[in-house]
Amino acid sequence: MSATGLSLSAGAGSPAAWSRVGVGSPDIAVADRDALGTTARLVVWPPENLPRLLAVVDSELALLDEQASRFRDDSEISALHQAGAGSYLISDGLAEAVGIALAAASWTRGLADPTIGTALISLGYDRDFAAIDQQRSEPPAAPVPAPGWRTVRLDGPMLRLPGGVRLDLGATAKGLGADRAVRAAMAAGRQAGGVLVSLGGDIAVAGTPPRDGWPVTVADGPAPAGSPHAQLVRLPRGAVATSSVTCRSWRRAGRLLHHIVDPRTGLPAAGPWQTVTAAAATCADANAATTAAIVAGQQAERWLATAGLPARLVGRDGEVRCLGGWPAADGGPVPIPPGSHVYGGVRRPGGVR
Amino acid sequence: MDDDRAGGPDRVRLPGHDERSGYRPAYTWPRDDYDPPGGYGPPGYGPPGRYWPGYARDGGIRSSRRASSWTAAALIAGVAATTGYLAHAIPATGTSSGTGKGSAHKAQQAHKAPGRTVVRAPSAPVVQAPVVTSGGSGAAGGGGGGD
Repeated sequence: MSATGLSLSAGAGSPAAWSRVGVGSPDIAVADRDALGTTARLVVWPPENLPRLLAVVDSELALLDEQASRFRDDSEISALHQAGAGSYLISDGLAEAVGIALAAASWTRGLADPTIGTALISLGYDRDFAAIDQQRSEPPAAPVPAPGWRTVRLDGPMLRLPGGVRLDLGATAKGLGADRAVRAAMAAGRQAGGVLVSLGGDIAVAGTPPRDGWPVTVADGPAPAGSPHAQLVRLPRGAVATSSVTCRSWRRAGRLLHHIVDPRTGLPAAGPWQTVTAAAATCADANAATTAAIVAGQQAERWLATAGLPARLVGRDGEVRCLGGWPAADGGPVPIPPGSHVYGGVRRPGGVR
Repeated sequence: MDDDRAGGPDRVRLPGHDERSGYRPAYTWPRDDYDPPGGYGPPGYGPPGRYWPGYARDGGIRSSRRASSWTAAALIAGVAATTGYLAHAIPATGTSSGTGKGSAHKAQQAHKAPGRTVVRAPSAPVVQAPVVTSGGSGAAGGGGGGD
């Protein structure tokens, strides 16, 4: 792949711009930009749809950032944290994001818990990841187990937040963002074609896929070149997401920490799996499932089997395990189970926001 | 179970009801004839005229037959026109998509005819190389949570 550096859009209030990326096929168009603390990629066909859809995806990502980023002082969720305990009337968009996080926590029996905000801060993940000092010498603060998702109540747009609870929607927010983006892109397209949105490797697709599905590399890290366990699969619809303890890791007093926190202990998950990829009907489902599987540790395979999701797990020892119909060979299609576990009970008044 | 047809002491027969004819009305006509002999109007309606139910029924049936014929003709013509349009507008599935690179562009070429332009729906392209990697979220310039 090659980035041309062509600036396509300044984005909604962000200095970052989209860069056109060549992938060797004239029938699709690909563009990248920084968003939500990671890299967003938009892939569309026919290629002439790209300029119009960049603006649509930009708008969705900017809205999600304004609603749910705990690293922006001016975000809605930061305002809640600054206000402390209380009941708040929140925007429909944040209500959807929190509702999906709570639904994911319920579905995963608390393995993916949005109340780990304070635990992450105590570990040192208290700012943009790029701004974290990766080699600080002082040890992290004492671990803070999550107060639990059941302490938070959401009734429509009314959110009740107990004292001391800080939300981190990292287990579902990128998936939600990808879902929103492809939905908005297809709604704006009004013509035949397909769209893929990736937010840091959490991928949602919509519309008509290329023949045999969207070709996607599943890897043991964000760069397939550095991954010894990369596999090419084909995604006909739905979504695929990957969680890995090899990403977003840092050191405190020589101790290696990462961002996938076990809510029960407030410490980085220490199970046998370092990377889990799962496919689902929606990216929020896949995103939550992979986080839950990493946290579940020894119980990951059983939990994924119960959830009925195709998944690929890479162990810390390099062992690769494919479950639920995940293709064993390169180039195989990923089976997508129907239905969503996290969108079902979420109130969505008047659309998405 | 009670027989609904059994007359009980609390049942009152409606005027004109004929017990012997088995609940049939007093006026009868052959089932294969649309109009009752001597007209349709009940006693008291006077001579046949536009206000007679029979008149309206007779004329209504003729109008309905006429309207049905025109409707059927219009439907047939509409279906034929739509089928013809779709046959030209939609490319056959799996024909152009198997041509490899550039197939989507070719399928989307506009076909210009005198007086109008028809744009064909594009067919799905063939994409061999991976377009994205799912491998956990690497950090970019900004921040944010993620897994």
